[in-house]
Amino acid sequence: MNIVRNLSKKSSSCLDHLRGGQFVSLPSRFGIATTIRENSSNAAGPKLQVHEPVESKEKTALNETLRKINSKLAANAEGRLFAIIHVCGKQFRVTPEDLIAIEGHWAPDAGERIRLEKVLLLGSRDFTVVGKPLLPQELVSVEATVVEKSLSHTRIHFKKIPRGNYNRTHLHREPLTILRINYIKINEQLVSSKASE
Amino acid sequence: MQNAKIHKNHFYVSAPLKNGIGRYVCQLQRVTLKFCKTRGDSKGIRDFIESYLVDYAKSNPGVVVYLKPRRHRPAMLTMEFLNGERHELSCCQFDGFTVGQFLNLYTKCSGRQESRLINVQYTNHPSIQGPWTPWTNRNPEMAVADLIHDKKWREMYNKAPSATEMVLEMFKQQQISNQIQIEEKQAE
Repeated sequence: MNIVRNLSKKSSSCLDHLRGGQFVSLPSRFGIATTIRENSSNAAGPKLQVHEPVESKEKTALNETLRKINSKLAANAEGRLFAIIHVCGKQFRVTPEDLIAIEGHWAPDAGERIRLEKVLLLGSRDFTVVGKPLLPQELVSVEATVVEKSLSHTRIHFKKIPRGNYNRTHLHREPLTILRINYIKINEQLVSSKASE
Repeated sequence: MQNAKIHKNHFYVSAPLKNGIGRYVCQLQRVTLKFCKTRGDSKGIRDFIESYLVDYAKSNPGVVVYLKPRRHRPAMLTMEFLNGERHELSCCQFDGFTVGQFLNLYTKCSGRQESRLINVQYTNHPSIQGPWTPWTNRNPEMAVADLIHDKKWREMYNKAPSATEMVLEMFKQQQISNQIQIEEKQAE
């Protein structure tokens, strides 16, 4: 019921910009294939032309999408960005000023400013850039500060052998690192002269 | 030993005073090393004071270090943090290296009491693109579309003939076969 209400609200108020999203592949100069998804494209499903070959159709859609994203970037209108980063075997969805905790031994020291290089996805309100599997390093930069290096709470490791007259209680605390995300930036314009050709 | 007895505190990931948004601020403010000059179990802390303490104080200019020699009292480290917390650590029978390690550890801490993490992440912006619904990035005409009767949507989403169409088709076939039968009879 909620969903239905939500839908009807959306359909009345956002009729113009809620259209089918596109997925386009960008195997461009970045070396790694990248998929760009634009959330508010205005290509309604049935209006595609039939005569054009598929490749060029995709290409024009890609260029159109990139052009829109670039115009946003140029006007600094991309808004708050978020990224999915891979740190220490775990993935986090982060946006500037977020805090993340990393459990276990990890080398960075308190007060250090580090760049998180494994970025799987970058998004804003209007578009999403998806890596396959990672985004190129020169495209996105995510920086973080190590705010705290402490220990986790005391964990109990209890061993027991039933009917064996044996039990042991071990207590241990694991290292805990807390990171503050400082910023997420797109470093260069998505469309180069090559990609737009 | 019960978990509930040990883990009284739990917390969401946090940093005091928005630490790290501008520059990083060391949260440890004051360290007091209490020790005895004669007791054997203060040997480690005395070694630490002799060989490492000056280096520590030099490398951490933001931390004030006090020494409190107390006759026949156990060795103790007292740390005071920017958030007003005060941590105490008994270092009887520690060696000098261990004392240094603990001091380094507390220098990087925020002064929070030992507590259990509720979640490994904290954000003030839980959603940027809005929550996903089945209609996210869909054509909004779908909301009011008549998928069954409207021919445009039927062709796009449901290519199989509807029950009505199948019945109509069957009826048409029946009509044709009846017509054929009638024609055959007339021919006879």
